[in-house]
Amino acid sequence: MTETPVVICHDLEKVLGPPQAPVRAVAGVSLRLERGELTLIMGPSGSGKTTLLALIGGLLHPTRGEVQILGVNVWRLRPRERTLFRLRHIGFVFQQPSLLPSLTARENVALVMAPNGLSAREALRKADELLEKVGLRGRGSSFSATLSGGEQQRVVIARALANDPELILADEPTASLDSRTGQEVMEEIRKRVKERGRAALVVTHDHRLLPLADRVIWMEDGRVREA
Amino acid sequence: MALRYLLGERIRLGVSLAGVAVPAGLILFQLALQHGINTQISIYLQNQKAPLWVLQEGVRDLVSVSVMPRSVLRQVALVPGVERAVGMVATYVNMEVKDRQTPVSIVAFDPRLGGGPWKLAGLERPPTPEDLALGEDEVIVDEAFALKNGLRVGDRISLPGTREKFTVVAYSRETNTLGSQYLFVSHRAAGKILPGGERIVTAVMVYPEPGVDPASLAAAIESRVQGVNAVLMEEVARRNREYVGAFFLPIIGFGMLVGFLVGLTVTGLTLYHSIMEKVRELALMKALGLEDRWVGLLILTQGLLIGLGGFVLGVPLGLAGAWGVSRAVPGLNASLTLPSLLLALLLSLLMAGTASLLPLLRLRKVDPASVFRP
Repeated sequence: MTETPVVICHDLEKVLGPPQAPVRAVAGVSLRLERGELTLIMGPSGSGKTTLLALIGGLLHPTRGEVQILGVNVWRLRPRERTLFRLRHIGFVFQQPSLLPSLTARENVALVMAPNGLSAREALRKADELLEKVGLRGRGSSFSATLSGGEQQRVVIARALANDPELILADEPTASLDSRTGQEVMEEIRKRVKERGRAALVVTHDHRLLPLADRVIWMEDGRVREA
Repeated sequence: MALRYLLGERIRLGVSLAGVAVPAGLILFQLALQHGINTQISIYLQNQKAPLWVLQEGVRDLVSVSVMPRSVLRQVALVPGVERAVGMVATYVNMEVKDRQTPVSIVAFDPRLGGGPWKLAGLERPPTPEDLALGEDEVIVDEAFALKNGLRVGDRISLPGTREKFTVVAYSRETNTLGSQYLFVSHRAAGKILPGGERIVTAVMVYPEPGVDPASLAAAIESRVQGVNAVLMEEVARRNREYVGAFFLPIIGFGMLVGFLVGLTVTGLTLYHSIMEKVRELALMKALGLEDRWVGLLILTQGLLIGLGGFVLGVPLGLAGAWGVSRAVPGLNASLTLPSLLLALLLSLLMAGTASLLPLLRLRKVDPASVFRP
């Protein structure tokens, strides 16, 4: 029996802009992401990579087509169910280190665990473990302003992994990092994908990440092709 | 987390807290003032400690005019269950003192029976009948009245309705109400302050025998004595409050409403601006999978923390206002009661909670996909 792919996109389309000047940011994209697979999406700016990520992540409603994650059509879920689905099954890494400045590193990580049923105490304990795994032992009480860009992005990775999601969506995760830190961050994602049989879809311009990828998808003018 | 958010923006927090503290203080001050007025209006009633008051039929408070024949006093005293019945003659008049019109309540009382002042200036203990024994041309005046009109012991003043002069012999305390001040004369002078005063009573204070239920006694008095109402002290006090409240409460209520709206506006605007600056953070929370209600709870908690903090800061303001007005108006005891504090706390929380509604509405429009935009 074959396992259900983590992601199946079918004929996905997103039209953006005003009705008088529509732009097909994503134009009929179909793709599958399997477990244990790290996929890179590359392509020029404005090719629709980030829009595709937002569509798959259940953050942007497609104009046409469907997105199935773990066999669930996310756009048939009610908004609240979709939000919870995102919390439980998708981990996000954004281009800019996206931490809440009022919270410490461990609180930023615990933030997504507490609503997922963990007590605050347990969530904070698990957050410390995750921070240790991404090389931030002892930095849990630091606020984002006192962390370097690389450290902040590691906290974001820890947060993305907090609920052990089946799918990791990353938008230019290494863009604000030096090459060594960027490599370490990607290694961390890859490790999780391989060790836990998860899937990762990473939007990047960084060709140095190519050796880490299982698949590379090229995107241009809203369309994809295997590279 | 809500607290962290608030503490992260000290200036905005200060403005929000002040926005609640000032109205909360204003509300507390007005409640203290209302309490003071309510206490004052029934101060005579409360200090006579008569559980039952007999008044002219149709009258159930001490503000309206009540006139009954003096024979009522004897009839009431004969009703089984009455231990003691004390008649009094009181009149509310405008009095001219040193070319100034001043509203006063003049009470004619018998010191052996009761109805007179309960506290005299310069006397630490409650006055005895001997302390209160007045000649027919002697008067005890309220201390605030004496101060206001520059009267001293030994001065001679004219009372309305008579050309005779009365000598001030003592000052009474706690007998200053916002509407008028109390003056006390001997029961033998009743005819001088009110035409036919020696043949009437305006109220009869009834002290039941031990074990007798005042409500049952009231019914018995009304069935045996014609043309009277026998009213429980609590009802008289309540009606007095309502009577005065009809005049003061709209003013106090308006002040409270203004305070509430000011607090609502200031807190609402500061919270809204705070949320507007955090749209990206809110979008991030939503994108990560935190439900609207969770993020909304964060905003609401901030609002309620501001409400609570503003209330705590408002208490000293209210106390200061109450202390100031108590100093300014002798005899007015504007003080904060537990129900007043609870009401002000509730209004402060309601103010800040309602102020959170606007940011909450804005939250619904925050697009989680915006976190992908640089």
